[in-house]
Amino acid sequence: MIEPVVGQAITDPVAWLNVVIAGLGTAGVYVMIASGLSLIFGLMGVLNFAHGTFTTVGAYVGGILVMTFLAENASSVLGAYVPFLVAVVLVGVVLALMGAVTEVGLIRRLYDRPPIDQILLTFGIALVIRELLYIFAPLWGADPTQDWKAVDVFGPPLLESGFTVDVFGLSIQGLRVAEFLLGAVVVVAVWLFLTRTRYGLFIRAGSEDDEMAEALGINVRRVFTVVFAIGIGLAGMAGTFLVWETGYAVTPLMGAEKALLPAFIVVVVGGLGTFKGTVVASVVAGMFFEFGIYLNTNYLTEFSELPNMALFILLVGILILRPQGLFGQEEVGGH
Amino acid sequence: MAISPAGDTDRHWVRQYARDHAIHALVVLLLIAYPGVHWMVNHEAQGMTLGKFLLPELTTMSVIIYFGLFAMSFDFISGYTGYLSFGHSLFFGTGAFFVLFARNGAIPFVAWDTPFMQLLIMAMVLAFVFGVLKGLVSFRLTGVYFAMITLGFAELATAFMDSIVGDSGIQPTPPASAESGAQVTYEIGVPFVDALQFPVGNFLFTMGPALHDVPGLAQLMDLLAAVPGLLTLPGIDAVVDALSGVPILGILVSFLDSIPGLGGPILPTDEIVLNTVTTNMLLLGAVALVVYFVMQRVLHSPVGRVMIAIRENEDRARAIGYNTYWYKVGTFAFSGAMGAVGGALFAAYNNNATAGNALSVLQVSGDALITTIIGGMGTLVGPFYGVVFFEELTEMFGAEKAQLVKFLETSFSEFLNSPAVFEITYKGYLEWFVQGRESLWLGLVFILFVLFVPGGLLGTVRSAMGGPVTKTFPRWVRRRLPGLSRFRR
Repeated sequence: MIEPVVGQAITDPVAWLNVVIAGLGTAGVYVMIASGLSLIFGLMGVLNFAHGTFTTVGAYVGGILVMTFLAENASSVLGAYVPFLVAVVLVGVVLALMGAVTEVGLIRRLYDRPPIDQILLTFGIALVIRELLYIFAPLWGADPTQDWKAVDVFGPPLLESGFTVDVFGLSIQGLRVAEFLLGAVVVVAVWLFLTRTRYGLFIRAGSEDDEMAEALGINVRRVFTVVFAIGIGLAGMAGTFLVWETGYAVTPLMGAEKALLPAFIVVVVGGLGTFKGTVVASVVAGMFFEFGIYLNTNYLTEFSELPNMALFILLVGILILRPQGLFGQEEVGGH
Repeated sequence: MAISPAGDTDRHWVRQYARDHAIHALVVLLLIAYPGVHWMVNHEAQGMTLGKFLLPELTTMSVIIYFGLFAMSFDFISGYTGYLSFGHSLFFGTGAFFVLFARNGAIPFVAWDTPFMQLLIMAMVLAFVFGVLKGLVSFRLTGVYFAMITLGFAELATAFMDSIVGDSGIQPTPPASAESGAQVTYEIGVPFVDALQFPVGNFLFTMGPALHDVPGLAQLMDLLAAVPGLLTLPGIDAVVDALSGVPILGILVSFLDSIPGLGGPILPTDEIVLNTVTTNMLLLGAVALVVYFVMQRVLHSPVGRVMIAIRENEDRARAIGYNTYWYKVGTFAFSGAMGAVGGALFAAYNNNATAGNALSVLQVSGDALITTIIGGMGTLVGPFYGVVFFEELTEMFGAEKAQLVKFLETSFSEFLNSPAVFEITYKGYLEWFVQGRESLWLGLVFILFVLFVPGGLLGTVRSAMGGPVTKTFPRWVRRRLPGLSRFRR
């Protein structure tokens, strides 16, 4: 969402190529945020309204870590990329712990209540965490009413706004490449985790039928906690990334306003509870969003909110045409 | 309900009705008396006294009324059918923006100075149509999917409206074709009766109209002025001066005044003005009351029973033979029309709306959701009390009024300014963690309610009293005041 090229006609293939490249980058961000949401819903049936807010927490924690580890404008690989990746992993761990505490302390109490209660609880959690960020962000010199810019000068050159990478003769913005790569890493890692590990097997069994899984001796409660922790950890890692993404202003409101709704749309469009659907829907939603930006810069300049409208049109359209989502099963809708 | 013997039906029906509405009448009387009570407690107060701290301000009461109305319409569909209408803000925004665009002269075939009550009815019709269209699509889905698609519609509308009106929102100005000096006004009254319209709005800083200006009354008074001695009594000026400043008494005096032969000829009506803040509250309250009774009526009708059947077990309701789909679409659209009234009142009161404060799911639906849970889901009037709690907390903790810090400072100034921990004073901590953090404390209360008080305030009261308060309150009164039972039969 950084390089809206003005003046490219809609018949120009380069315009479409730009939309696709930008869309793949955005899809990388979406899939990082949404895969946690999708895992949590698929297994536990909890639609986590606090997911976006945990992304914001990730952005703040990540920003603090990066400012601690990284020198300003470091350019060497050892000085820039290694600390950055360490910071991302640390954020994942910290947020996973927060997720585990939240699940054990609060969400666990509501499993036998109607699904609406879980929506309400996570909605309240989001509200409280957001306000806590307002209270504590100033301790690290971040003015919570404004975009946290101080951290932008740190970090690897790949993420800086002017940096471009040559791929097959196309110069693509470095941020796009990084987004896409990290998104792909997350997809592959989650995929391998779900299909190749013992715990992944537990999770798939629990998603299928948690009572039967419990009867077979799986400690489903612990699986729930682990999945919630992983989901929140992924959300936090994505949040670290959003610090450099100019489309997202880092404020305590970021999660609810910018991160949560696209992630919801991705999960619902893909089909609640299917990881494959989430990945495909991320790509589709990324394309829709970037096409909205393209239309907004070149044709419908009045409509500043067009990209978001494109996402909601996608959501409403899919729910009308295929209510269970692209890859969802019919009966999941009855959750 | 016992079937009464023949010949007694009529009296019994009236008594039954009076009993069922005793608590309603009591609450309405308390609300009408509230401005007077507030004035009596606070008119001589200096600084932040306990009375000012505990009683919501009169301007806040207006907000409570229009938002309480919206929260009730949200509860009407979400609490009674069990379908969480997360995008209910769409209807609030429909009401608000329809009124404001109409006042701007931007709606085709609607004159910019159409009386507000007519606009209100049009807004309800429009919201009903939107509700039917949205319901037809949304009710093919259930549970989480339903919540998501209604959210999608509302956010789509928010993004669209945000692009049109921008961050500063829409503030109507009379169109160029209007005669010069024309102003945007909103009047609440009996629809289509021009004589019975009273202006409302938070932006009216002057006092309301003098009674003398109310059409019809002036001529009557001129007529009576011809009779010597009728219009003046010794000392009456001082009494009127004293009374007209009192919010509720001013209105009462005006009312008595308007009855010829009672107060009218004696009191100089041109000196009595309607207090704007009080009239705002009472007029908005009158509309909200009508809408509440309409919703209550529907819930107590067979349609309401079907709604509860859908909530409890939709498959069974369908098996009995009800076409639940059409019941859901119909009641959804109806609750949307009622929610649009809340939005229209909001627009009239503020004369301004942005996509954020009138349409956004997170702000408008979110607040309605919080107040509904605190007040009690599935109780209809519970959300109103939830809004009272919400707004009172905002007054105490909010950065704008900061009543808590001011109040504590009047009594414990020395303690507050003494250092607590890390060389920050207690006041410093209050300003850091409490002042302007009303959302934090509200969120904590909300979580506690979700976890431990699923019935909300009113639901808890109901289970404590063993039934809806409308039914249990008269029983309770009769037990406590046995003398009253003489009037029974």
